[in-house]
Amino acid sequence: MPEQLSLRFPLRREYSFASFEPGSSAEAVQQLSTLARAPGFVGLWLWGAGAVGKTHLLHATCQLHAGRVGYLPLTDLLEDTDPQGVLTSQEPLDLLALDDLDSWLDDLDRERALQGVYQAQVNHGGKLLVTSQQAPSAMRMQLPDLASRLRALSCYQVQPLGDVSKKRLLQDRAKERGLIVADNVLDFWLSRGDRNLSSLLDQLRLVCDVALRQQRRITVPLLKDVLQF
Amino acid sequence: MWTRKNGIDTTVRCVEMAQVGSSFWGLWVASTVWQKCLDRLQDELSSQHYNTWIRPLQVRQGDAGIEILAPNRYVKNKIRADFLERIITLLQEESLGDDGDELSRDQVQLDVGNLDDSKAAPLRADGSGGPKVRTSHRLQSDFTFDSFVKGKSNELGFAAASQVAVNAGLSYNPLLLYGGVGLGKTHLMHAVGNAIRENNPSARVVYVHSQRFVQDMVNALQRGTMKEFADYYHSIDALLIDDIQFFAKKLRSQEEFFNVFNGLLERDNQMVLTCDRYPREIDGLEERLKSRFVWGLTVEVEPPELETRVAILMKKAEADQVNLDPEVAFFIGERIRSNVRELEGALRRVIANAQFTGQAISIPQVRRALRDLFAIQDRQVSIPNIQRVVAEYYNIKMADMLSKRRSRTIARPRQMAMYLAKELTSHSLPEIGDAFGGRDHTTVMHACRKIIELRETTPGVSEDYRNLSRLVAG
Repeated sequence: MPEQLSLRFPLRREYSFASFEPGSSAEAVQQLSTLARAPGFVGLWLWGAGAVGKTHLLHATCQLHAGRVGYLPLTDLLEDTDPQGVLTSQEPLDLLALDDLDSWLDDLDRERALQGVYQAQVNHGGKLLVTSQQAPSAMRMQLPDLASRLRALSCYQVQPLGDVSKKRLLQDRAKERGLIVADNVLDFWLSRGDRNLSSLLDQLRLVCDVALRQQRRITVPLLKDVLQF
Repeated sequence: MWTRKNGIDTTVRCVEMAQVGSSFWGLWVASTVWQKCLDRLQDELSSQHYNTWIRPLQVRQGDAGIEILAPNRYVKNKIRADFLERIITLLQEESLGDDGDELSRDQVQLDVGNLDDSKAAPLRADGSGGPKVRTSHRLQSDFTFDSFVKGKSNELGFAAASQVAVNAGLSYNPLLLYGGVGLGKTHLMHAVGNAIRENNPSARVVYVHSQRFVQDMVNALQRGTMKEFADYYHSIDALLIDDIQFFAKKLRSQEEFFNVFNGLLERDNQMVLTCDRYPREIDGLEERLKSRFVWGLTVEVEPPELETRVAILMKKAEADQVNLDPEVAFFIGERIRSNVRELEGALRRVIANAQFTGQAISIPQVRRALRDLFAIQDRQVSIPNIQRVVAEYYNIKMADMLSKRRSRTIARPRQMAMYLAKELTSHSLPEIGDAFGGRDHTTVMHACRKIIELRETTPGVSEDYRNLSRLVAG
């Protein structure tokens, strides 16, 4: 079990590799799940639109990695009175995961703090994971040195799941709760509802709750009732 | 508890310093005690005995106390038989604390060994090594002249660095390498350090990033140990300082570095510096430092030209035991021009993808592996962007894309755009319909079905889809 350092940002147990549907991001998932085996410093940058599973992957990797690990959501960290100070005082770890670079970069002081952390991880021979919504080449950075170092990390785009993968995931999640969602119901759902995975999973929770409470099967009429299609 | 005469608990001190990434303070305490012990032994013993048996010993701060290392079993046995008792007595006397605690016998260990710099810095009786030597020179062993790829862009820097390596302190001092990021300045700097150490293994060579220098100085100020800090830097044979532009606007650091700089140059100790620009262009740097930085030789390292980029890729692939076709190397080198660092990052990504997919490295495989990096990488995939790209591809107007016109020349591109929007974005079908002139979601469903059908039956549509996917999403 990893020794997690920051209790302020605890790891979410439900975010595991087992519960992640890789879709077309299988290579990134494979790299992350075998990260601990690589010797010395290794850095990976995951990027992609919101709600495609980047945070899920960071949590899953941290939970699988041995040694001292740390997960820091940078957007949340910005609410701290001294965000740079928190980052600067971060001691080198076996694995450090920094979520959501978009909010952190393009600020000289914050970038300097990040550069220090990067260099400390390199010197320590630890692993570094970062995520962003924008592509690495599109991220604005004030420190060219930091930019070139970060862009030289292995970059993987986490793609949104296709409909086939989404259906499989929704069916699996429903099955975990003892419910079945037929293909035609899912076709109806995906052709009318929000196709953002995070929203779909929220909706599924809601639908499952109602189905269990009312002892009903998940059908198109139930979806219409619950989701107001 | 073993304490120094000033009452500092060395064990605790070591732990504290390890937490801030440095352990030379604990070592310094042990070394000070050891040096005093040596001084007394030198007085007590004949020079022959001292030089034969005591001089080869090394000492380091161990977890439980002091570890004395003999170069071989023969010396160890001799020390144990004839000198160890006296050494322990002297160590106990010299380490006696104010509270009367002293070093116990079992806190002194004698063993055979040779200190590796990465574990602890040695203190020999002949003075090589020493109390102020850091526990690690921080040189990257794989950054050598052999692993550096020369080209027109960096040949001057390479030649100057090679000269400095064989004539440390005598040829160009300081050697300042400047240029953009990721071009190999740090590699050359480490190569100089590694070569100096290879020529003279006892040379005290230290690589430090300027930010680390500043941080160490701040720590020393907080702990009131500025003298030790200064002594440490003054004791180095070759100092390699990376990214001196970070000294800008840090006046106290500049002052300390100015003193270190002068001290080292006065003794002809080599300095190698790197900077991301010509030093005189750094705002917030004192004039006296700017002028001193360019006293020796200042060389610009330029971005590598295509042939050098290809050579770098080939060499890196060879080091990783990967077969890389020169044609593929040219393909990558032509597209990634920014710097060596990103070039190597791209190759790592290509190799990882080849290993994952089980495919040989080829141009199509590189295209897939690096699609994030190539050309379209920074475009956001959005419905308006898809509409624009598709309209341009089929040479129709954006207005037509959103219009009610149903002629095939307009409808087919519109259907393709709807299909791409469904495949490449997370928008719901009603949202996609809205974005195409307020169409119903069933129209989007029909468009998607149509394109799926045509992709299977019409090669031209299949090719259009592949091309457009690449254009939109990279």
